Amino acid sequence: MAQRLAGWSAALGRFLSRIGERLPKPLKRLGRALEPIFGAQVGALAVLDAFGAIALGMASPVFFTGANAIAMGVAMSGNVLASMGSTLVLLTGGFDLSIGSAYGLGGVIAARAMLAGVPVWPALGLGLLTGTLIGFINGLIVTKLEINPFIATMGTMTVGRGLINIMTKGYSISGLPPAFMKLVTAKILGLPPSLVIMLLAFVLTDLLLRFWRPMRQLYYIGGSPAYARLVGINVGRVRTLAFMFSGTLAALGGLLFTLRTGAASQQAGTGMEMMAIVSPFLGGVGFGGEGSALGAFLGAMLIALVVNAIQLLGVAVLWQNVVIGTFLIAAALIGMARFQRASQRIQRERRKKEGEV
Amino acid sequence: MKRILTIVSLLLVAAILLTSCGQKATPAPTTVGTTGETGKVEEYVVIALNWQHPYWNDIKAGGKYFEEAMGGKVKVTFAGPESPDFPGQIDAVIQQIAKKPAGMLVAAFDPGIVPAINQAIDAGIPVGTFEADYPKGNKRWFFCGVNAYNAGWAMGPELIKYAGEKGKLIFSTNIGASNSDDKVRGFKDFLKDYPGWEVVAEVDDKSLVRDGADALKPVLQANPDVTVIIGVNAGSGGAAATAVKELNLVGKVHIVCQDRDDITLKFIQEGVIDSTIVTRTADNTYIGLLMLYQYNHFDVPLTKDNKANHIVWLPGNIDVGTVVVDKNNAAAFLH
Amino acid sequence: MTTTETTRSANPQAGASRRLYLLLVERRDVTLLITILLMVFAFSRMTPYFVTAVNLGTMGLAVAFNGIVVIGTTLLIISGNNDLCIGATYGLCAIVVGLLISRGFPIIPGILVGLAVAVLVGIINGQLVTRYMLPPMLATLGTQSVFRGALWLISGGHSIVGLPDSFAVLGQFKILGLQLPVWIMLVVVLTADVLLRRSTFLRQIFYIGINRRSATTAGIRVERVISVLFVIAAVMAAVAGILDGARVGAVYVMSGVGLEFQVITAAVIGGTALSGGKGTILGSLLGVIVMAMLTNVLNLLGVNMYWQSIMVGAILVGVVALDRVLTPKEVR
Repeated sequence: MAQRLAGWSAALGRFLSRIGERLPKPLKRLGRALEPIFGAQVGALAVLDAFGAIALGMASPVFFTGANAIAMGVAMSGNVLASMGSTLVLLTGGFDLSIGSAYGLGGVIAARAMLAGVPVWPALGLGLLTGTLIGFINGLIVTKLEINPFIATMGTMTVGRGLINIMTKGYSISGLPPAFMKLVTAKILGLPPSLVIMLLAFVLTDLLLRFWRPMRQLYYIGGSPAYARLVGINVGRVRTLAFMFSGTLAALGGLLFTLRTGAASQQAGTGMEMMAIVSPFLGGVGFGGEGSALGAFLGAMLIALVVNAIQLLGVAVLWQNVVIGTFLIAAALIGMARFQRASQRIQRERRKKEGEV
Repeated sequence: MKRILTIVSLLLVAAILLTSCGQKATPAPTTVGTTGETGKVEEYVVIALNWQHPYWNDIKAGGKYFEEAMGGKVKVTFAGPESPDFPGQIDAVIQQIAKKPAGMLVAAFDPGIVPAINQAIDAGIPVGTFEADYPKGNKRWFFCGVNAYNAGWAMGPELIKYAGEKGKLIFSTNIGASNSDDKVRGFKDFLKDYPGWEVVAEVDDKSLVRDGADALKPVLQANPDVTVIIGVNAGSGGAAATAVKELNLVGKVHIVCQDRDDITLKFIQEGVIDSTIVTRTADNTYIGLLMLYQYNHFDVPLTKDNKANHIVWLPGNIDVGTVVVDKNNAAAFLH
Repeated sequence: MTTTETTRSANPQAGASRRLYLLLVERRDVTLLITILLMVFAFSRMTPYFVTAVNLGTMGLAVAFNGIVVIGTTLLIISGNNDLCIGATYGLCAIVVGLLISRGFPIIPGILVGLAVAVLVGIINGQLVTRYMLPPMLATLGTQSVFRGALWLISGGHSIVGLPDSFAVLGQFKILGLQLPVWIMLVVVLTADVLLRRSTFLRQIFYIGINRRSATTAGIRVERVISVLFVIAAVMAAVAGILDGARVGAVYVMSGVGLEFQVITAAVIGGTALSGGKGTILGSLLGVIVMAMLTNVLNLLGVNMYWQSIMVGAILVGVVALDRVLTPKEVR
């Protein structure tokens, strides 16, 4: 059934591209671009997301309301931001377990700065820089000390979490200055800032990865670091930059969360790293060398849909874990079915060519 | 492939069936929450987090009792993340607002949830906090529960009762839980009247029995004149009891702790733990929901027109209080 | 590394000592053993309570459970896989056994049922990774949720008490001052270590970890081996979980939460490469010991619990870094 679903999405892609061919040139290029997108694991995921959204909409009248859409979007904004950063690191073949601590620490440092009298925007900037710094440290440990990213980022995660605990003494930081509290209800284009910035970050990351040549280096490093070095890529520097990007985005997420809630939560970010790795995985970002930000975004969306479904349908609380786990596995299976199908097709074509020769 | 997918889809179907079964128990729920509409089932939502923790079982029980007591007129839904995911809980509140329930009970552990609560109030939903409260800037109508601070304080008299007015003690607590910190604070404030007591160490038991026991044992070793372990979270009692047993210190080291996990109760029956403080957990939900329901259906005319004058007639603060569980009544509290 | 270069060129007769040096750095378990002995020496200077019979017993028990679980994890990581589901398995099987035995079910059959559940979990995980080719981290993360959820449902969210003494004795009976779980751990770990070095079946996992494709070409039945490994990991977790229940005399409903990270960290400290193809059971056990010793001494010294978590993180990175720095490039 998974194969059939995967087949449908590919058929949809071919259909769209065929329509595109009959249309004027710019649309034709769009059509041709769409086919491979739908053909990839990403496409199957997109179809799954759409499927799920429609099913949920039918099951609960609340789903297709603006309020719910915004609520869901805001709920996933943290994960999306973290996943964007995580995708970059995953592409280089590493991974970043310290995302959660960067998320939390960004908010905490900004809050402490504000309480110490620093004006709002510089304080937020400090929070952001904290994330960058954490990423830089991660990069250093991984490249200079050549320590496995798992241990390295786990170290920074533990130290970061410890710092949060020490700085907050176990309580969330509230009582922030009114200049900041005014921003809590601020809106960009009528929408919550988390939502807007999340979409911006996603679009930016995806476009950069697709079209900006230097980003290609990430893929080469993930595919084969030795080869990348041969070609002249400064592997250490690019990996460090990827970590810094990841840390900054995570801190941004934490700052947005602080903004939304008016307080720097001491628990913010715990456990976030897992979801930030699972979302890209679902979207086809393997452990290096392949994948897209779109995939990560769709993966995050799937998780958000499941959580939203649980909320709206009132799934009994003790079943939540089971449902989420099952969906995760199901989505992964469908994605792998797509991959298997594609690789089977490639093998068939290869055999055909060999047969001809 | 087909097989696994069949199993998976069966599981999904089962999950969905279960939820719809839960909904069939009361007729087609509608989410109208205004006063006095007879014949419609009202939905009340209880939003907390870390539902996986055994403590919340009693909270759920309170909600179920309320459903039964109301005989089908209300449906109680529990929402929020299973893990201690504070942002997740905030998102849950916001997502539930869209459903416009008849009322909401929210466990306000973290100040970050206040804007979400206010949003719900602004949307016209009656909201009360339970279990934990953050009153500053909070528009919620009432708080129903026992503050962790008071729960911590309640351990004080037990300490004096079993271990006297002076000595050395250890805290078995966990990092990063604000209600654990509140309990410690409450207890320490109680101790201010008893300067003979010295806090020798605060140990992170990670809220787990095994890890806690392994962490407490060296601390007990290094401080042989400690006479009391104060356990702060649900696993602390079990951790402390295991540590004390394995070091053959039963009777020499007293234990006073929190919550009614069955392991803690078992050790009370065995005489390893002296007593534990149990909040009237189920009351938190039951009374809280009762208040919301009363507000929706009745009115105590404090003024000629409460609604026009923006007066909420409900009491603002209900302290459900704690119960001391010791050898005499431990068996009654087992699940 | 320049030191080794100069040694070689400066002194051609350095053959033996150089070989010794290489032996030390190649055999991570040997290096760790030396590190541990140094730590023991240092810690014994810092506090008189460290090297006492009671404290050694405490540390032994603290190591026993993770020591058993790490066997399965090590094997899996060497083969290039991972299992994030072991914590849930640890708890689930313990709960199942606890429920049965507390209701009067006889002990040995009860334990066998729990182990059977573990085998089932292992098979499911193995199938997801081999037949359906899911990335192991993703698959086991999913199954972890499912089985942790199953645990809540089966137990009703409550801990299991009412276990007879005949069961608790498994976890509490002392031989020469050490409880049974410690002895069981020692036996199982030593057996596993020897098997890993000698058994032809197990030696295959190194080839699978280094290069899966060439392992298949070489005729190794990769999928069969990996499936077996997942079952082993689950059974190890179950054994440890059941012993944990016996030790306390009850099964805590949150049992096993956070176990995965503890165990994976221990394996990595012990020299198991996360990329696969390298590792020893003894090394992983030493990794578990290092972690237990650290927490133990920090608690003996009364270090503030907030600072403890920072120090543990920093020291772990430090230990691995030190090892990296001291390993000459040729051996890496």
